[in-house]
Amino acid sequence: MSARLARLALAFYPLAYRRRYGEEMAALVEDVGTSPAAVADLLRGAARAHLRPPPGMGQELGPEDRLRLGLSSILLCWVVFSVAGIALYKTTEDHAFTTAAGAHGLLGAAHLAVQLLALVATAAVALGATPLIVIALRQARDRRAVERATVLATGCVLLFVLATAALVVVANLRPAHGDVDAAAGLAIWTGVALACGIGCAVAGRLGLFAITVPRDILRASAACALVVVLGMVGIALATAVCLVALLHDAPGLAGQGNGPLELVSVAASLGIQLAVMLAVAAPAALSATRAWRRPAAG
Amino acid sequence: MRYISERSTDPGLLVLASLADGPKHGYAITQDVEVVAGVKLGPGTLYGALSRLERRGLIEALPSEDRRRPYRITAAGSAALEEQLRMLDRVVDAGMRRLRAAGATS
Repeated sequence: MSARLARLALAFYPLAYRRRYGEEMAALVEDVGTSPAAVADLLRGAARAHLRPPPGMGQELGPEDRLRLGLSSILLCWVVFSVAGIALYKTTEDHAFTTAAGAHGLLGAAHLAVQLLALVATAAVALGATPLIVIALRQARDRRAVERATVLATGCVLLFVLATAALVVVANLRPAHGDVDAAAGLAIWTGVALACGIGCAVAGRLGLFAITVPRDILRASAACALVVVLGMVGIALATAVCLVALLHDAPGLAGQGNGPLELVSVAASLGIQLAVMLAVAAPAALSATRAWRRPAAG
Repeated sequence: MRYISERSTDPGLLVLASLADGPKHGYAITQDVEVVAGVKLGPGTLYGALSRLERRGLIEALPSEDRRRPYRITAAGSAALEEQLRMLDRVVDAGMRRLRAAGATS
């Protein structure tokens, strides 16, 4: 069990680190034997390698690998960001919010900006991912690793579709269901959707490093990822403006309960969604910078 | 003045000291450090130290023997190790003298 955990812990190291030291570390782990303390030490080492990477470690990766790494990291960030985005959509879909947005210019403009930027970013995700998916499907027959990634991604998409269909069917069959049931259903769907999204992102990462992609297509996809990152930053800023405008122009609505159980107010919901967006947009921007930047010498 | 690690069991210092008498691979370093200093370096800590020392040019990797790559100390590494050990020696010397003096007066 510890041996498997140790191998898993090694997988948490940055790609450049694993390329350079992975084999040696695996050999050392086999030599010293695995124990919970060794696994904990590996996990601490992985965290340090991410937070304070040794200088010049980026040079271990070629430009195309850095683009692949950036693409897969941004995809994962987009998945988590989308959950906050869907929550924002649910928070602001009520008639009361639409009315307030119509009455107050800044609130309406910020809300419209969120929606437009979400459309642009979603289109960029589709545009950037489609050629890579087509290539992966073509190469899946000949390459085991690509096939595994394709099966994982397909399974996650199917599970997401089933969960969404189940949510819709249950909501329509039981229109008079209680708030607790609605909240539980939504919470389960959100969990499944997040797991499916992370599964797709993991599959994307596995597939990206297993397929052969023409450089131009990879760079075009990376350019789309850059648009996605700008979209995420823009949506987060527009959400912040939305929150400020809501508190200033419609304090009554801001204080109203939100969601099936109304555990938090509309303003608090927006605040939580904004915090998640910022927390995800920051690493996405960092990934984009690392993907496109030429590594410093030394 | 350059600062060194706040801990006397700085993994980088232990690794440099271990490599001072010749090249070693990861497992041999951990064994040697355990015997000499009584400290067990975990795999994450050891490779954290090795990667930093290598990037700073204080050690260098030798051609790999299967999956176990040996490392050797460089001239810069030897100089850095000597400087740190001399400094620690002064600290140990002063500390022991003061402890003895304090023991004599109490």
